[in-house]
Amino acid sequence: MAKQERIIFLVDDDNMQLQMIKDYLDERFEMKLYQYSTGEEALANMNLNPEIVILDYHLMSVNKSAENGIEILKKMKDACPTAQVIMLSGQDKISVAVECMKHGAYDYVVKSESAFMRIENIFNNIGEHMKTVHQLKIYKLGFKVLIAVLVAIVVFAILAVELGWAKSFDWI
Amino acid sequence: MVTNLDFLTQFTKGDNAKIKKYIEMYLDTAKQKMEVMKTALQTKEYETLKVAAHTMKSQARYMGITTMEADIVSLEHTCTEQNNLDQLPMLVEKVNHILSQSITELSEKINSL
Repeated sequence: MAKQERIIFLVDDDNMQLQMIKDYLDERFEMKLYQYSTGEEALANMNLNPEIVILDYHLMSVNKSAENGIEILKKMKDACPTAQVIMLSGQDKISVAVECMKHGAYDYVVKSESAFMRIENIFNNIGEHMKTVHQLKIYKLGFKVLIAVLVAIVVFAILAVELGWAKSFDWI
Repeated sequence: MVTNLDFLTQFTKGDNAKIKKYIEMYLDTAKQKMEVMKTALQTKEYETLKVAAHTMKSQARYMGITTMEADIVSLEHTCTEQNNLDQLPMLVEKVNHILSQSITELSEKINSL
């Protein structure tokens, strides 16, 4: 079976930032990366079911009527709750970071020289997290099947005793 | 010198084509935002002024410009709070002076790459 491709959204109205993150991630991860300069454009494509969204907190430097990152974050989590959103901001303010996390952001990264390495680490963490979630789903399914088989055996045994089928198994 | 390309060199692993690409992007943005800041100061559009300064804050970090970060933070704060507005012309002047210097330095750098 072909490995499912990671779909990543990168939303920033700063061209240089967009290009630097894209170049950095392209060298390190296999993925399909979609770039958007406004949150509205990204929202219109949430049906692509992105695994990770890197979302700028300030999205009004080019289009003044564009919605702010936190508003877009809320709408993204409504549209695609499984998408992990990494907020990106030029502000090193704890209150902004807390606000983002409260609205479902996976992490908050300040635009600085260390931002790229942090994003790489977060990508790896999300990858591990997704693997664990997938394994857990398989274990849950396996457990359900096991319970169903056990119940069927018990029901069969009861019926065998009640209906006298047990005699027909005397030869066993 | 107000710029320092150590980070960019490390980030691109010394790839001159990439360094040139990022510097060109920075130059375009810096020239444009300098004009935006000047105009917004005259027309008293403080939100526009703040957003332009904010964009330059992160881009300047990647060009190793550390001397104007405190002024940009003050500028953003003044525009948000709309207090001490008389400080704004001085802050815009300082920021634009450093941006202008960075444009000169990086334009020379591009020619030598």
